Amino acid sequence: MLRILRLPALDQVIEILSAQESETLLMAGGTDILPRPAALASTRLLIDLSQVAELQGIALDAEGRIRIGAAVTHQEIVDHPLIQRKAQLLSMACSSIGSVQIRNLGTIGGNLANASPAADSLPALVCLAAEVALASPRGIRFLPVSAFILGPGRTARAADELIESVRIPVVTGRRVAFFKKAGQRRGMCCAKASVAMCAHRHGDGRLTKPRVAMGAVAATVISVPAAERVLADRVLTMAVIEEAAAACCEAAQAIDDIRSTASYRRHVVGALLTEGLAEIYDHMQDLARRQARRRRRRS
Amino acid sequence: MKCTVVGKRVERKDARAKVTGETIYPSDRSREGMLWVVAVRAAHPHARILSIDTERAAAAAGVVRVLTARDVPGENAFGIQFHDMPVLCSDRVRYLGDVVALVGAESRRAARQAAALVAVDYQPLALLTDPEQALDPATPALHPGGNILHEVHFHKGNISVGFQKSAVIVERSYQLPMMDHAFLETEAGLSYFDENDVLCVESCGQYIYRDRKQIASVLGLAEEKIRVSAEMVGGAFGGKDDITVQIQLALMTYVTGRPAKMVASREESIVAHSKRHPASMWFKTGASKSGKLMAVEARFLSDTGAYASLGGPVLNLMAEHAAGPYLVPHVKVDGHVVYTNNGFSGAFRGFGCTQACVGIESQMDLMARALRRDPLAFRQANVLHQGDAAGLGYEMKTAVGAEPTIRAARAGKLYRQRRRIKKDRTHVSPSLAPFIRRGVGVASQMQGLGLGVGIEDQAEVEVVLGPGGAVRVKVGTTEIGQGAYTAYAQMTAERLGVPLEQVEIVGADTGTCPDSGATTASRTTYAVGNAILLAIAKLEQRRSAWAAQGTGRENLSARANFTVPTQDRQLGDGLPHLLYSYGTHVVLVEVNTLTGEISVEAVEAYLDGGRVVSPLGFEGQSEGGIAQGIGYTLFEEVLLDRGRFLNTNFDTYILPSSKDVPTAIHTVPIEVMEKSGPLGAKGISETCTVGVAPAILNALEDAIGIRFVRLPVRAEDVILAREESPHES
Repeated sequence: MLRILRLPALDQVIEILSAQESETLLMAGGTDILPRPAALASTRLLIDLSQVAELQGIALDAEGRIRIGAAVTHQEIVDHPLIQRKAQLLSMACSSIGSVQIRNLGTIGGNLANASPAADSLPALVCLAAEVALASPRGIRFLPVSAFILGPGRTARAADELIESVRIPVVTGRRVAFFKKAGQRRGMCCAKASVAMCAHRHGDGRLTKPRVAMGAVAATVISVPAAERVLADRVLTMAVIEEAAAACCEAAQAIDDIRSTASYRRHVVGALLTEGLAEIYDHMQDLARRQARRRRRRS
Repeated sequence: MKCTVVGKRVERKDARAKVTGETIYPSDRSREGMLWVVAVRAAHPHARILSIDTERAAAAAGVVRVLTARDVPGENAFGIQFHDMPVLCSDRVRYLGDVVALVGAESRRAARQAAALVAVDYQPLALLTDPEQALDPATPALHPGGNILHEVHFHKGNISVGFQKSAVIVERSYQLPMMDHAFLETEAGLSYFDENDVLCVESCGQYIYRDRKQIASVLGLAEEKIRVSAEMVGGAFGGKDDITVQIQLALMTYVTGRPAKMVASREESIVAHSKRHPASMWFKTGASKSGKLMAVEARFLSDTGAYASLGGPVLNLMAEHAAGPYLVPHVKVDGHVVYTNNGFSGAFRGFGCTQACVGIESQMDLMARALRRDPLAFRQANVLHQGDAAGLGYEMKTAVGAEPTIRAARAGKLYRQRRRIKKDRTHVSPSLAPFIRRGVGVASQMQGLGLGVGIEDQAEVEVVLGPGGAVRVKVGTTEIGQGAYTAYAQMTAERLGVPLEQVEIVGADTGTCPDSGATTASRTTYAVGNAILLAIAKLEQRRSAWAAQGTGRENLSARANFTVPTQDRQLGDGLPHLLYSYGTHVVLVEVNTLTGEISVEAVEAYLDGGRVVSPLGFEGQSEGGIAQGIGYTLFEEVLLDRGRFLNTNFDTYILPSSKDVPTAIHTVPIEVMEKSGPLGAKGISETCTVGVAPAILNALEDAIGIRFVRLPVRAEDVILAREESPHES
């Protein structure tokens, strides 16, 4: 028999988790769990986290990082002003998850716990150097997202831990970012491949501290240091973009499956990076032109 | 003739109830004391059944009865054309949807759990999944008559002379996928004995009277002891033309005496019901230097899967429409439809025309290109007119609206301004503009209306005048989402001169409605509409007779039967047609050559279905047809691996979303009045989707210079094709 517990407080969840053997399933929005009756069949206890008070809310934590509670929905992230201002990349990525209905139910904690290679939020979280806060009777420990995700459906979460929140360091200065996704259609689709990028933008056309990550082209989300090296401290040009795109294609370890082919995935990560960077390039050109006009008017 | 209700943009009669959720669909029906029925389907796509052990399932908690072939009292077979599908398989299964047992239990869960306990011992047999292999007489036969269900061989003129006279000859092969109907509501229904001991089946079929006949022969019951209804159905598109749950429900109720309910899961539905026939086609076509079509040669190999369903007639319609709406002196068409273990295919909106149209309309574009002619002008110069000989040689005797649709398309904005529209990159970031290509493509089509020569095609209706001017029209056709009931009401109100609100359509119940025929083949507006007008004419005759006698009467009813006219000469089952609807589609596509993504940006549809009875319904059909056509061309394909379905839900069987269908859809009615039609009307429900696929393919070639010959075309195919064609501009 499957028991379902909806708990209001974090300690209650932790207490049960530390007492229980396996066969306990944690669920918040249920968008990954409910379509899989097989996963439920072997479960004895299902804990509904959606009402746990400590897992809610988006705010700055004591160290000045953005704290997103694990049970915060994708739509809350998309709409939240703090995310839009300080972690826009995550807002972009979450807005491409599923449909409105899915975004209203699915949570950031669930997206992490499910550890799908195709999860849209993960490349953004990796670029933003986000950390996962894991709560257990031993307290809270932090893991970078790239260390938390181990493989398809596999994470570093111990059986008695639960994802409490995600923390994103706040970075100041002018930033550029994009999330691009190739899906089987435009709406309500799972990524065949995705690319996230963020960087600091400088008035002279340079990008610094670029971060590039890709989804659905390896067993886990992967960052692309080779592309980052191409972009770092360089003035963005179409030639630079081409070089960075080639580095993405090179880094992809894609496979064939029912959604796409390995060769297309390898190709398209380069295409997606090109699209995103070309738009940023045009945006920066535009800004430079406007600035030049302003200067001319002043002189 | 001027109309006041017909042709008005009236709200659909069923719209509000559907939007507010009040409409009762088959899956909403329940009854006190009902059993839930779950089908135990084949575990192998082709196997001999050595034994079926139902003991454990029958003993499981909540189970009332487990039925096997032994429990079928009458003929253990059914089918639209041939009774070749077993109700319950006893010795052999031929596809994964075959049913070996039915479990009836007190709850759905108990029925499902018990279904897993039915132990069937199978001996797997060699699979036949390659249609080419099915043509080989040495391949073991799936059915007693061999693996070829039907073949066609037609010719007109002399094909070699045709090619001798051609300056341009184009030859291509095309591969078309298996497509699911993806109706919103899966197969569902309820059955029970009423107080008069009549076995009632409230279900989702497209032809209640034929369903009743088939149920009767399986149960060995008189048809009068069975009542079948299907008033509101949650979508069908041909996929509910074959019997689905009706016989299974009736059998469970017949054996147990209890009400029974079934609702298929989506996974079960996609495995079980019919599909659009996957087909490979070869076309060779020629035209003279002056741009006259000289020859069309086509070969079809269609895969009907495990059972006949309508595989024969679908192939016949492929042949009938192989030369498109064009005057071609030399035509040769050969085709085979074969059995395999690849699910089974049957009726699907377009019914063979969809497949044929991809071929001929791709060829038309290729020839126009080779001749350096405007693709629409080339079509216009070769188009069929009334009195011309059609592709297979018979005379086009009724109104032919093909040319007016082409003329209107040429004058339309998208086509006239295509050069400017194709250059537009204002919506794209400047650095990405070089990677964006746009193309405009066209396709023209015709689609036979009605069932064709040799298949009974009648519609009987009853019109009842009640007190206070109320009018009830009893029709046997189903409302499957197409909006026909509103069109019926408009025609009734028009002819009787009463307000639309006073007309009630009573639909699809053998207990109360006459046999109006099948809800298929774009036929209902035409056939049922004509029957309604005949019944009203009878009523008015009687009314004036009574008025002459001075004896007015309020309650008055009349029945009338209309037979859809056909050609005199029969060329095959349902072949050919006398009446056709016509259309020309103009499509704007945009290709992102970086990612390979294809997007349909705008569609103009010029459709001739005679007089438009219900403009909102007409536009709705057109827009839905375009969405379904986009799905066929760019997204949808049922994938099978050795007879097993790989994508049985909508997470992997990809339908276009609202973001993949353009908002810029412009539907223009080209009303060529059909003399034999009710107030000049014909039908539109298939021709509105048939031309979409080739129009997109033609637009793709216009955009990126690549001719795609396999559907669906995905981003992967675009990237691959561009890598393989270095000469691309």
